[in-house]
Amino acid sequence: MPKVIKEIIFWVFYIAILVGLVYSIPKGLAYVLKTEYPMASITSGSMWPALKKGDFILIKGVHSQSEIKIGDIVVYKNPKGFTIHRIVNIKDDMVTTRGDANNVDDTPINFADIIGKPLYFRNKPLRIPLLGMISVYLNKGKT
Amino acid sequence: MNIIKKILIVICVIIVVFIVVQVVNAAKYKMLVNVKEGENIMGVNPLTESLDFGDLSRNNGMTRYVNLKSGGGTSVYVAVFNLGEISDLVKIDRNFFTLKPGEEVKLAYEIQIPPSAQVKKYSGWTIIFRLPKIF
Repeated sequence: MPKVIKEIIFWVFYIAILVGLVYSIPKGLAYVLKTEYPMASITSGSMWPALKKGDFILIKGVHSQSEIKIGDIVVYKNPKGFTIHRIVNIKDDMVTTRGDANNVDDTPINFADIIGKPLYFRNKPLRIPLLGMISVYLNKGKT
Repeated sequence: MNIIKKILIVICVIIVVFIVVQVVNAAKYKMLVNVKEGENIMGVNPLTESLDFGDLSRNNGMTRYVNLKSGGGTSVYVAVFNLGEISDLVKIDRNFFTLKPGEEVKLAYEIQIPPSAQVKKYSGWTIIFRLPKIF
C-alpha cells in the first residue's frame, strides 16, 4: 500500500480515537458517577483550603437525602450556575450551606437542587490542582 | 555537524543563558504571615528584606508594598509569580504589565485571612521578573 495512503489512514484513525475519547469520557463519567454533571472546576476561593481556585473535581450524584449529612461538601444549582459549599444545617427538605472561607451562611436551598458531592479519596475531596484554570479565566469576564 | 545544527545549538544556548540571567536577576521576597487565634489581631513586623505581614487573626487583612522602578533606557515587562501556601491568600493589584523607562510603580500585596485559615505560619515566595521589552 503506498506510504501516503497508510499515513492518511493512520491520521483518520488517530483523529477518530481522539474525538471518541473527548466525547465518551464525559458520558462515561456521567454514567459511572450517576450524575448529569460529573465534572466541575472551582472558580472561587470560598471553600479554601479544602478546595482551591483552579481545582478540578469529579462529582458523584446524590439522589436521596440519606446520602448527605452536615459537614458534607455538596454541589447545587442556583440562578448563577453551580455552587460548591459545605452543609451547615439540614431541616426537612431545606439545606443550608456555607463556604468554609465565608462568614455568612448561604440562602437555604431545597434538597432537589443538590446535584452531587465531590468524589472523595482518603477522606478528602479528590482534586486536581490547576486543571480547572481554563474555567477560571473564562469566567473572569462574567459578572 | 552541519551548519544548521550549529546555528540551532547557538540559539538554544542564547535562550538558556537569557532564562538563567532573568531567573537570577528576578527580585525574590519571602512572604510570611502568622495567623493568630482571636479577633482583630494585627501585629506588624516590618522587615524590608521580606514581605512579612506579621501577626493577623482570621477575617483580618493587611497590605504591603513593593516599589518597582525601571532604571534603564528600555521598557521592561513585569511578571509576578507567587509560590507557596501563602499565595492562596495574597492578591496583587496588578500583574503582567509594562514599565516604561524611568517609571516607578508600587505593587500592592494584599493579604486577607479567611475564617477557614488554621492558626499557624503561612509562608511562600513572590518572584518578580523584569524582562527587557525589545519589541
